[in-house]
Amino acid sequence: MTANFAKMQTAFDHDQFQQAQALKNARLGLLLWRFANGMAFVFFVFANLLMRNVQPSWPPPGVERLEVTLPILITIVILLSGFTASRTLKAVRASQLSATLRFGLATLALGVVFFVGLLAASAQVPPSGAYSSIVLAMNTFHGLHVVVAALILGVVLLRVRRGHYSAEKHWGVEAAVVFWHFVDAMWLFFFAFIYVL
Amino acid sequence: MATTVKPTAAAVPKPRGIGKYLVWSIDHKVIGIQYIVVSFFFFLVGGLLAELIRIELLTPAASLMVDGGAYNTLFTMHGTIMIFLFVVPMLAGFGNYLVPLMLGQKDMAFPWLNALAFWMLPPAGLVMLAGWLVGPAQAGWTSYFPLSGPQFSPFDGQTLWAISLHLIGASSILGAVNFIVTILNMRPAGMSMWQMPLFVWSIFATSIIILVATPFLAGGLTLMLFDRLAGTSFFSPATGGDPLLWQNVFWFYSHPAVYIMVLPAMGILSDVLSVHARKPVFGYRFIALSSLAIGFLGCIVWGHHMFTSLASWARIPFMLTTMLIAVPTGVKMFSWIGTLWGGKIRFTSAMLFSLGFLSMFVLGGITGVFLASIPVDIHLHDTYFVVAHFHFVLFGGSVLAIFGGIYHWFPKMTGRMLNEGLGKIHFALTYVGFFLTFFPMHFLGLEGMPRRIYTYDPKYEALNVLSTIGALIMAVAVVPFLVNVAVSLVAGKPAGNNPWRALSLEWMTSSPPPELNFDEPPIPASDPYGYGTPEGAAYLASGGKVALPTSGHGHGHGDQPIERPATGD
Repeated sequence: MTANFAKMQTAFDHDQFQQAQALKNARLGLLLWRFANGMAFVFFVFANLLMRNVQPSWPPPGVERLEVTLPILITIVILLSGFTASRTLKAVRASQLSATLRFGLATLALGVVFFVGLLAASAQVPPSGAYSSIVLAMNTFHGLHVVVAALILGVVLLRVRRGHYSAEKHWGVEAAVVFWHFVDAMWLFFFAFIYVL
Repeated sequence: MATTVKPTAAAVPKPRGIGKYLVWSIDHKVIGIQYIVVSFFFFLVGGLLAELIRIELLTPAASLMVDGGAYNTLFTMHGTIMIFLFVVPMLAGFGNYLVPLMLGQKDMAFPWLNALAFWMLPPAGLVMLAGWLVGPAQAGWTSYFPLSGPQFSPFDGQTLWAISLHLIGASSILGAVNFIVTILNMRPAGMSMWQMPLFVWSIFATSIIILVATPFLAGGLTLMLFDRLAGTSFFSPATGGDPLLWQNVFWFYSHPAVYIMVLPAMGILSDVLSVHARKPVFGYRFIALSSLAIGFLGCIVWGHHMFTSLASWARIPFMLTTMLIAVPTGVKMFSWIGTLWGGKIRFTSAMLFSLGFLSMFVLGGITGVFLASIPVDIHLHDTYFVVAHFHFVLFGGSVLAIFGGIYHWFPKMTGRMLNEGLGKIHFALTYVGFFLTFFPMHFLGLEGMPRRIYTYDPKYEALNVLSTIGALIMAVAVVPFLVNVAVSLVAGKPAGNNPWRALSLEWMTSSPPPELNFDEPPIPASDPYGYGTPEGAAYLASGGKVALPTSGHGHGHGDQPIERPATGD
């Protein structure tokens, strides 16, 4: 019986080890993914800078600078969503599943508001050749990431409602929140190069 | 009593034999072989296109082609297929098969993702080939604007070309994430980063380059698709775009891509040379770190492809960084020669192909330094000298190493040896054919023959005839290889676990390895290249069960004193 118990214990440790290893792998994997994905955002900024380089001014002569009120508003919205996203993760770590769901849904709602605002801001861009091309391409690229991040968060929230996560085991929530923060940060990066610089 | 039988995993018969390679599998060994076989198919397709190119160029007048457009398609598809559907996935296949085995693991960190990455490849290949149905791409593998724009490439083949490359890029990013996590997180106890086989190091460096550079290709292709399909104006100067934008982003990816294609080949070389020369790798750490150095430098030299179009202030910095790459590459060359020096060299087919790499890559590397020099490059830009240079690097480098790798690891993958006689015929024909094809191109380029043309001045004819003869010899060379593989798969000599008496972990299990690779967790040798050392001999004698610590000071590999016997097992 002792031997049997020892065997069970080993098997249990092995299982724990496997899970810890899987979590470690997943975290590093997501970090590397964010790096590669971030390089794609860097690409668009690089393209933006090169396109300015062949113009006498930016925006090019005869093209209006973009209206910045709506973009600032949606930037505030996405910053707020970053805050609620952090609270979502905090809540699941404290085993408060209903709070997790609440903050998660708030994040999702803010994401939808941001996305609609982004669409509206894109609709305001008059066609002007190079300038509108790069601005709309950057908005589209970021918008697609918002959609993906929202889909991931949505699926995770469904699983929260079904009680899939706990204080000890919540990789899904963590991944969704981490990716959400990444998409937030990338908006600030884009905002600077589209509207400020 | 009626019993209902629940369908269990065991009740569903697993596909056996060839069947398991045709379905979704998360076994890294199956995926590795899937990569290798699919990319070898594209090697044959790309090779056929190359032969057509050479037959057209046999005479100065148009012979095979109805017009220049058909010829443009030939070299565009040849280049694209060879690079993106052969060399890159072939090396990914080696990585998939070997990295988990070399690390003593059951599988990669993310087996499902691994399968996903592979299964993007056949659709990408089909999309590329489908170009022929709708008017294939003609803008060259570099697809410069305006050649690839709607004006000069109105056919959908150019769009399919971009979609196909998008898929391949996504596949290689997923693969790279998987490799880095596997290598950083899943080394066995007793194997530090400095005790990994150098092939694993090379895959690590390659994966970092992929993560940095491939997103730029994806971005550039996205803009190309926007311009072609959505009427944006990124590249057309008429609407305020910048054709140099494409050149910049394309080369920001495609120059590092050269190292994506050659670093794993160099990894194969380090392993094969050491095993078949029965010598520890000379300068282990220098070889490992030079891969990272090449990767880093490779990302900041893209402008050297654009000396004729670049702002003049940017030329000198790009020239200097480019020339710097010769340093880590030279370190590798020196270390490999040091590895061979005084070794007990076995001239196996794997070794012959590796020596072929050593000799040809030196030539390709040196012409690379020529081309890095601005005045020389401006003279030789877009001539056959450039064609000669990159074929010496890519064929004389990567492809010869790939064949060396196949002769080295085929026994592990299939459990059967390849025939050495046929292997040597394959090598001799390939080596001679290769040299005859590409060496004359240096002179053609120096005399001013431009590339990408299908008719040429008759004064270039003699060297072109030589080149075409060489190309036909290379085509013949594939025959003994295919026969060898086919015969060996059925009737090859059984390989046993470790036919080359190698020390790395992939040899410490049966050939081919069981489903989960190792029956019990393997013990890595303290030095994966400790050939000719007492520890290495003891490790081999115990069949990988006993790993003595190295007698030298701690973790000194390669930089140890050379008192150890230089020869012998």
